[in-house]
Amino acid sequence: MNDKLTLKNISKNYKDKEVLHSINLEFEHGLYGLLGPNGAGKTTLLNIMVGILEKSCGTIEWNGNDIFHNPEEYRSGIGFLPQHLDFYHNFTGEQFLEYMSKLKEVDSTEVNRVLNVMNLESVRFKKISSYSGGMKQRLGIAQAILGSPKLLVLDEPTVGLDLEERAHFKKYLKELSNESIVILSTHIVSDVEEVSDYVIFLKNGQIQKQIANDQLSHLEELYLSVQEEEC
Amino acid sequence: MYYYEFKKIMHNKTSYFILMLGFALIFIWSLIFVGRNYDTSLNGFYRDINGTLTEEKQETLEDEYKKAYSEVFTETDEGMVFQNESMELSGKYCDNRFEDFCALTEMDALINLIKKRESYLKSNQIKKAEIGEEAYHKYFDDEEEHVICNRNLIPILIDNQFPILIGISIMIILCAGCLILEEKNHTSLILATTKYGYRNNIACKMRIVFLLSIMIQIILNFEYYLICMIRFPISKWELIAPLFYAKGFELCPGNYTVVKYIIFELLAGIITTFFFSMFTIALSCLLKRKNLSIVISEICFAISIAINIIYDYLYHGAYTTDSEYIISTYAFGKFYEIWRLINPFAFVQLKYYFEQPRFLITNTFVIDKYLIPLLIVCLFIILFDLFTKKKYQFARRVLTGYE
Repeated sequence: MNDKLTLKNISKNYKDKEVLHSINLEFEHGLYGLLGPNGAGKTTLLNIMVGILEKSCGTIEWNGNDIFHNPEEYRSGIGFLPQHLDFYHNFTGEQFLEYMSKLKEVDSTEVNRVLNVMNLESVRFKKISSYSGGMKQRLGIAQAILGSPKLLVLDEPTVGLDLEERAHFKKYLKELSNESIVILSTHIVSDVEEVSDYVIFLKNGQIQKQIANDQLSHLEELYLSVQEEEC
Repeated sequence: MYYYEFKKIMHNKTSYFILMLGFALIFIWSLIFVGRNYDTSLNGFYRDINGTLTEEKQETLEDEYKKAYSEVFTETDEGMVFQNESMELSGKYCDNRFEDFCALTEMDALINLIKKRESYLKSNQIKKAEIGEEAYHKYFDDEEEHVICNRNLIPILIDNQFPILIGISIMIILCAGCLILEEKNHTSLILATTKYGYRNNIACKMRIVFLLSIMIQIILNFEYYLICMIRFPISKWELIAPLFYAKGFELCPGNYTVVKYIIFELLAGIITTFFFSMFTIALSCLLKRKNLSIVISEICFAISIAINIIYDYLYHGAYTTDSEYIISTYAFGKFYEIWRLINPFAFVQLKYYFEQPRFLITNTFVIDKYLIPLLIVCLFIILFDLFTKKKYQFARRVLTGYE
């Protein structure tokens, strides 16, 4: 059975300010790009999805059940990369991943796999304090993909990656999305253009447009037009 | 998990500095304060009576004892009895037995030791064969080892919680620093999306604090032992024998060896912490509010032990000073009896039943071990909440090195 994540009427208010307004979305396996300018509410929406931020109203369902019915089961299938992730600088890359694998209760052999996937094997024994920005970002992605999660949520994952790494990473995400739900938030159109099955445009806390992969050929123009419409 | 959590806590040089500073403070505190009572009046007294027990010495001790307790007890044909009803009641809550009541003070304990030791040595002559030549020689054969020396080490070793509280506070400051780091570097977000969420993270830190407090306690006990050995005119066997051999040693209440006593102490601490954690987690699931549930369980816990604290700290040694308190010890005793029946947390007292069988018989107990898990959590919450708020930036910088 394919896993299904459903967001029904999700809103979020900070005091009087409405950051998200009545979001309704459905996700099945595949790669979803969440596009929007800075301040559109992307990070807020992702944080609500993974259950670390409380919504003001609405429900989130995982395979038809409210995620708060059995949050442990829901969380055990999540891989999450937050924006601006930093680490414990006295850990080595391998130690950090081992720690995360214990927390996620996944097999320790997974550490080798993700180190390999993210091309971090050569620096696995080095302290994180000596990592470059790109290496740290890859390490962040590596912890998110530990145990091949059913729901992978990535907030601005390509920041700091060079072209080669980006291409490699996108290829891996595409493979993973065959069996999982992968949600990738970004404001860079090219990140989602090549690999996404669906793209969701978010602006001012509202969904402006949802399109499938057959309409992705002119994504950049579409993105600009959506922004202009709003103006 | 523990390794990684500990590594996280000790994530920078400041952490190591704070830890070292804490141990230095504890060590200095121990050097200054351990056995300070004995250095003054009692130590001189102990020196006078040190050595083999003679009739003359025993008479001196008994006279001293009678003089000290003439206000509390009257000597009758049936032996020593309490002078009035309220004192009798207080005595009852302390212990039913006159001898054990006497054992509450240093001097009484000393006399008890002499009596017990003497009778034990006499009976030992008969049981010598049963005990075995080796054990007998080890502990009792040489006359030089029959020294009258009761430092009543258990209270010194176990009840002196101040250094442990220093240790715990330091660990909590370090943990707070680690929590702040996790908030800053956003790892708290990924920890929250793991199976058990924040709960796992916080619970693990709590366990580390508790385990470290136990470690500190063991180190301190060992250190105290060494200091006692150096400071007092005491035979090494008087210190070492009760560690593993209980009979005839006043150091061993309820015939528990000191080692067994310390093991029970640790076990009992774990039971209380476990119970307390379970209660908090259950409340947290019910209310879906982490901080609120911790605060509520703290309050419940504090209320449940408040009467015991009052009893232990105010009335425990106040048998002759009724007038200083709002209610008499008699009235308090009655109230305490009812409280024991209705207190919903009474079963936490199992911790104390583990410690000394005497408490099981009399349903009374000492209280200060309750304070450790309580203070761990209290300080943890206060520090965590205060340290993560902007307005406490200065305190944060001073204590942890973080903005």
